[in-house]
Amino acid sequence: MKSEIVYNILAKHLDAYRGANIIIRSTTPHEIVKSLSEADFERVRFIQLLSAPADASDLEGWGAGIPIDIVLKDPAAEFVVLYNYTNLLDTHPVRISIPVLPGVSKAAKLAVSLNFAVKLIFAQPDDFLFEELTQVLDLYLHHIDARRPVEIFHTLFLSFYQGWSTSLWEIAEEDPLQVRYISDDGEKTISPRFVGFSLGDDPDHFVEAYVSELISEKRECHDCEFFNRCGGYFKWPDKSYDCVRVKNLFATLKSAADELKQDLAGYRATEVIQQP
Amino acid sequence: MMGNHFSIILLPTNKCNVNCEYCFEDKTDDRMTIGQLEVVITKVLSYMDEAHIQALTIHWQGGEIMTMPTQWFAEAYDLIQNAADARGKFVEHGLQSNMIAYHPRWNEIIGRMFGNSVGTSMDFPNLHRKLFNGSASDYTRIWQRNVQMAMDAGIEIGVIAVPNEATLEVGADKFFEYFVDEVGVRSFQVNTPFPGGEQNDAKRSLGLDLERLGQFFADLTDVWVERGYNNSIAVGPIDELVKKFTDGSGCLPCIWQSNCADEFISIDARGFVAQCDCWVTSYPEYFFGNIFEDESLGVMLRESSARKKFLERPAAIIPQDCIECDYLSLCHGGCPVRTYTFSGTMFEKDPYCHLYLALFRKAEEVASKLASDRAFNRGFFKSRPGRQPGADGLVQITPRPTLAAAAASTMSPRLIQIERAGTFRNSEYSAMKY
Repeated sequence: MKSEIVYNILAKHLDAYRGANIIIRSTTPHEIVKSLSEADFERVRFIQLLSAPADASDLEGWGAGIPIDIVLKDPAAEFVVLYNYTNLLDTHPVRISIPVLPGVSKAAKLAVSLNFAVKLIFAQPDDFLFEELTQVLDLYLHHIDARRPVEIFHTLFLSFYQGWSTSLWEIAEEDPLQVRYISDDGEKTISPRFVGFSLGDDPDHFVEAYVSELISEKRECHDCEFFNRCGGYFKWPDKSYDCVRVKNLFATLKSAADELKQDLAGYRATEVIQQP
Repeated sequence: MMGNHFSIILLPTNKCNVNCEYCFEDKTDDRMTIGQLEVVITKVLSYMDEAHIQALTIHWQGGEIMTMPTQWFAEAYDLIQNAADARGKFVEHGLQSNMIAYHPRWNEIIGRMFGNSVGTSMDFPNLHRKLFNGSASDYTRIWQRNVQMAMDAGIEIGVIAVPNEATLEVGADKFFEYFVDEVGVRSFQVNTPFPGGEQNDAKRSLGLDLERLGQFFADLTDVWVERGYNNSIAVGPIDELVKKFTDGSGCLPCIWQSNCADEFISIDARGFVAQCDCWVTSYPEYFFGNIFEDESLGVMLRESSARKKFLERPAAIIPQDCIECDYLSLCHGGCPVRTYTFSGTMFEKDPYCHLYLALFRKAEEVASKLASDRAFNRGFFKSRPGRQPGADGLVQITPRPTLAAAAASTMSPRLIQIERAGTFRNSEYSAMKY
């Protein structure tokens, strides 16, 4: 085990990863509470609930401060259960991870309305899902309720605003230099969407190698203005995936960041003028 | 079950000393003894232990609280404080009284137990609040005298007012003037009418025309902006809504919590436990149980089929049309007891939905205008190209929060993921990165 790597493991595999940095996942809050002792807390980056249980009260008074990531499977059907988790916010940072599937906009809206952080889980979304994604982006950019990050938008927005580059692989918690996902069958990979795919001989540098392929094959990435932030993230697993609507999202974020910069610069200028 | 804080609306007496025509309470002569209070507090603290809850707020009301002797409260305060200290819990108290039986002998306990503050109720004009042997005007005269006496003694008074037909007639200006200029209070809240309990003519008359009621709230908002905003006068829920739209702060009333079942319960003098004072005094079919009879409050709350309905309400009503609403986060479908009273089911959205919408829009517009005024006064908009001043000389800004406002005021740098190299467990949401 590499000590700096964070391992995303099932609660029942905890014994094999004692001493490592972990994200511990389970379908039941009870199993997580039962598995972890206080001595483990320091190495727990967050806990991940893989279902949307009706009752998460086991976690309310337990492990105060440990972040909780609740992963929805079917946002259209499950979004209303988010009301069951609001009490967790008193003792934990809570994020709702929402796959980009039908219902994503409703789930994101309710999560934001209840003051949860949000992470969108992308694969290679179909065209019709971009309508919902555009609504989520509008919610993040313009709605007063959006007081917590909505990832991947938040970090991308900040990177445009502050002018630093970033990596979508990192934002999505799929950077193999930082994380390993240990599947239910024990397979070591990057994230659930890589289960069953080979990462080659050097998993640490899988992304680098994949990006090189995309560039050398002159895929859409090679002249994409957002490549330094996306890094070919949306080209997995299908390299021929058409990114035109992804680029629209990036462009909207960039333009919003530019607008904010311009507004704040204008405001600061008036402050300077007003000084005697 | 309740996060890290728990509230009880505690009715140590079901007895009242006045005869308000629109009261929703089914009053009795029951009064809690100190021994019974000890049982209540022991079970509440045990529940807090089980649920890892550290802090408790007890909102004391009745019946009428001042029909109890002050000595009872002195004993109650010590009993609760000692019991809480023994378990390492924090307790604070709030007091709601009609002030009709107020006497300066209450001052000591109001100062010691209730932070020198009392909440009371009065309408303007007062049509329905009456004494048993006297008119509404007698009631008003005594109330004003006692409130004045309490304020002279340094007690802070907050007032809840319910508008009636005559309120809409006299209008927002006079309403504001009465409370602020005539009575002298600095904080009052306007509640929507709730004709719970057994019906009578007074309650039937509470069903106001929502459009006119909406206009009253809008006018009151304008009066508050003009006369209250810069003078630290609080007019709930308007001022808190404006804060919400300005910087995200603002404490909204219980009718707009994400789910009131997560926030509090009410216990009456007979030991009955229900969602709030409205339920415990009006609707026995929705009692969760009886704290004197049930062994454990925690078990009662977990197993009560009535309470399950409250917990299930958001999931039942939000997908209908609330999920499409711009103000979902402010309202969450509104108040269950108002819904139940008007509709006979709690699985619908609040019947005041359209009024709330109008109120939210108005508050949002006011928040934007106040922000715009502040920026304009600093010269921000004076020389900016492409922005046209409106007829009032101010920039017409969209009522929706601008990107700049949202980003600048709500995205604190703490949320920026610059802490990912450090430990992330305690660094809030940047913490969600490994």
